[in-house]
Amino acid sequence: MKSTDFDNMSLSERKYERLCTMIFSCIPSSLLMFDRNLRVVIANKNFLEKSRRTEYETVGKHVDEIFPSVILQYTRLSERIRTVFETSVGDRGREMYYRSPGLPTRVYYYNLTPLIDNQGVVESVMLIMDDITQQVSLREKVRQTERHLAGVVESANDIVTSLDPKGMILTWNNAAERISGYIERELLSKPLTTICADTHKATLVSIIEGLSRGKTVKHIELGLKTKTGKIIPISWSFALMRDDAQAVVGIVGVGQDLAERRELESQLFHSAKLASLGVMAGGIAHEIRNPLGISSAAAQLLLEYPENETLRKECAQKIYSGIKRASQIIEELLKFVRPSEGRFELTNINDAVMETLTLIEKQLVLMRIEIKKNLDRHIPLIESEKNLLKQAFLNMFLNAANAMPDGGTLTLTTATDGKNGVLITFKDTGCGISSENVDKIFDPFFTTMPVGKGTGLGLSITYSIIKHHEGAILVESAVGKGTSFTIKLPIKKS
Amino acid sequence: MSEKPRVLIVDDEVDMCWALENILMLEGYKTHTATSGKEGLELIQQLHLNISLLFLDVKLPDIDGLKFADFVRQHYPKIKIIIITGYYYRDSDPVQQGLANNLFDGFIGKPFNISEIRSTIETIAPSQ
Repeated sequence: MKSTDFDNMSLSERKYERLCTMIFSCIPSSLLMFDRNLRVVIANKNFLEKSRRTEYETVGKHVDEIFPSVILQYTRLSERIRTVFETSVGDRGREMYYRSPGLPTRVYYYNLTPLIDNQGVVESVMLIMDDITQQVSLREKVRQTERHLAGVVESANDIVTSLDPKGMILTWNNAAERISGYIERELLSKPLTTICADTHKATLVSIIEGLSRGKTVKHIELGLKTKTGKIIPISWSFALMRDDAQAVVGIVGVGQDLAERRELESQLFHSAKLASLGVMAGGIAHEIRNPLGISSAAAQLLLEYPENETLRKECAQKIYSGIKRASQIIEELLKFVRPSEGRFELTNINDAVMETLTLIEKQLVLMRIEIKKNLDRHIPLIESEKNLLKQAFLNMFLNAANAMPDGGTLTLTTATDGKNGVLITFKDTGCGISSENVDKIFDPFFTTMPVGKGTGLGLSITYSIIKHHEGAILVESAVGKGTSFTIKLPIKKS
Repeated sequence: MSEKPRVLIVDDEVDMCWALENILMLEGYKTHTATSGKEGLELIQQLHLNISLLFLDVKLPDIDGLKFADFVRQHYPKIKIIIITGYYYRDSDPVQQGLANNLFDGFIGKPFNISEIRSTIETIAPSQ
């Protein structure tokens, strides 16, 4: 500004000018004012600091000298300023990436505002640049987190869906599409009950109502009706999404395909069953060869002494009972090896325990293990896969036998727990389990037996079978005194 | 006719005792049977001077048959022992080692032929 202009100004005008300069210099945005020739008239302190320029290097310079040509090319800044001069209309809200020499790239949000004189002519154009580098980097971080979460959700093997508080579907991930056969688009804004098996719809409705009252739901099994009409068992867990004010904004549901898991589990159960048969093979051979030996000897006696009337009758009777016994053992074996059909049936636990015992009783007796039975004759029937339970019980018997290599007492107890369950206890007087091993006994392949004697799978399979029945196993053990396993099973499946 | 040896049969299966008893009786042997190790030992202690042959099952509910055999060897060395079991086969280690170390004199696997019993007895305790 020339000094003559200053002299001609009135006091109030001078005051006003000072005020403007002050505002200019302390405003946290970068300001540049351009005249019609696109030369800088005013540059504020903020701009000079950010661009590392002096006022001398800036004021009076053309816009093309202020900004690097790359920026000028992609922002088309000169053209935009010219347009504002011509149209008197501001240009707002654009982003500019600007990197001063020796400084990291900063992101600016800029506006072009026309300053119009009394005659309505654009006198100058103001460029206001706000440094939004921090906001942009936060925004990038949020986007990255969102992408990360979306990646997790989309690559998950389980169904992940979000619902509004009324249970309408908002998102439906890849696994959900694969399992249900419905793509996300087909289900958006439809209630989750759309894909629920008819018999479970009422349950799902009440779950969603309960959720909105703050009840969380974990591992509830509901049938999912696929697009082709197939029913697949899904284990659902639901949780609420709340905002900062704790208001419920939605529901997240995670569903595990139990059909897939059960298929794997049943394969594992089956191979473990065969492995436990291997452990018993010696005992089984003895079991079958004894009645065979008796029948064979009787048949030979019959051949050698056909005229002995008394002997003949006795022999025929021994042959018959021997064959019957051998065949009974084979029958029990076959029943045991038969793959589980995956059906829950009403089961008398005492029968399951006793049928398992017939498979191994002889072997236990030969190991000088005395078996005491305290079976509750009025025990209620429970819903179970009997064949699986027998497998679990067999493992408990084998485990007890291994714990008592020099004989002992195995006490079998069945009882009701007074509520909705039954208890089956296997108490041995064996070596016991040391406290450091107690936590490991249900781990697959954990065994203290020499190689080839135990599979190390028995207790871990027992554990999965009991879990499969929604039951629990409790262990109490004292080294040198014995171990007591209590299996708790619910009468009714939830 | 020469005196046939007196035989003790120890097997926890009553019917197996019945079968062996009949086979041996009809061959002219005097037989005694026991269905547990304890019962068998009592009989030996009562009759040991007369018993010359022991048919022994290895799996007994109250004692390991091989330990039983060992005890008889120590205290009644004149008694010949024939192991009779469905648990082991002839080529298995306990049987081969037992025969090699003279823990018992013969082995018969269940099920067996009567002729096997005859020839085994003839080999280890030939009739005089």
